[in-house]
Amino acid sequence: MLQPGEELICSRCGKRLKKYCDMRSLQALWALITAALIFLLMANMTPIMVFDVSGNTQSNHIITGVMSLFYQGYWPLAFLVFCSAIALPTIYFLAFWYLLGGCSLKKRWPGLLLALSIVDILSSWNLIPVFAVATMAAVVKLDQLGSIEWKIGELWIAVLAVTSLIATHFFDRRMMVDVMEKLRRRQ
Amino acid sequence: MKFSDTQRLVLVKALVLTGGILYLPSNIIPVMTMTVSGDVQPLTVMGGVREMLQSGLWPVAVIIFLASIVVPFLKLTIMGGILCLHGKSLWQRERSIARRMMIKIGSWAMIDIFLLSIIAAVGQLGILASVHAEPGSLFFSAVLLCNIFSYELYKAEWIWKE
Repeated sequence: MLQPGEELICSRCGKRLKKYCDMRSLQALWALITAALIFLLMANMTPIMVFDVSGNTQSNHIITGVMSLFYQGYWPLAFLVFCSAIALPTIYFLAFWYLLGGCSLKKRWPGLLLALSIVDILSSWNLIPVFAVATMAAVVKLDQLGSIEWKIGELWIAVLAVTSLIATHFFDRRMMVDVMEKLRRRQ
Repeated sequence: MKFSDTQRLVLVKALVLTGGILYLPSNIIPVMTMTVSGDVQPLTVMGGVREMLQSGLWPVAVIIFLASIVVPFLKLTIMGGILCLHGKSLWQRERSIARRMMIKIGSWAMIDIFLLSIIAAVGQLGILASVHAEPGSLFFSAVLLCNIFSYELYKAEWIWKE
């Protein structure tokens, strides 16, 4: 058994195999993901920034950029941005939430294995932190064109990015598999 | 979708090759045109970086330069190297470390596409200031997708197979 603060590292390739993790940290992680889901909802519903060029104002949501790319005829790009900034993070966080909920309550909810494989596949598609930095860079760039102002949505995106970074850092796949194995044996 | 290992390997090779071929046009063809009070300006990825540098925003310029020019190039060369050494016992540890690192930082290349999507929203404001996407952005995103899928399809244990 690993003690708190210890980790198991492969001496041949240097990959971290296992971290110290117990049921309490699983519940903390579940709470964190619940918060992330709320932040995700807020980030998509509130405007990120308000842009003003000589009296013409426009408030930008995440979806605004997708729509404008679509109207300009760049639908593959619009689709890519929609998937990687809205759809896939949403599916990822929902699957993550479901998986952690089942494991930390020790309930055999249906489709936990499916949720685990969704989390596995989509973990490299969680591009929220990248999007957060992109919005900041966009503000800098748009400042040359007209006046630009942050809105509350930017804060939600930043908070969401930090939560998702923390959550993915503490996520231990092996532990999930162990817990699910125990649940399966008990029945 | 289920592929056999040989099919996967061929697919990875094809993706890296496609990425390498598309890398050139993605850096030459403009990714967007910015119109500021009648002044039309087509911008390539490098042009966008240079413009930010000129307006004194070097931290942002450095981030964009690293994320959208250096990272895709590194990803292509490292995956190319991994493929060249496939089945050999040379630098196995280094290869697996490089692969893990590239997966971690690789998605940052998307920053330019996100940036474009946010500032393209200005395209709706009319003639005074508008931003439009250009074909270069399609090439650029194709390179990114090739990179991401080539790393996901190449299995970590293949590095250790001799």
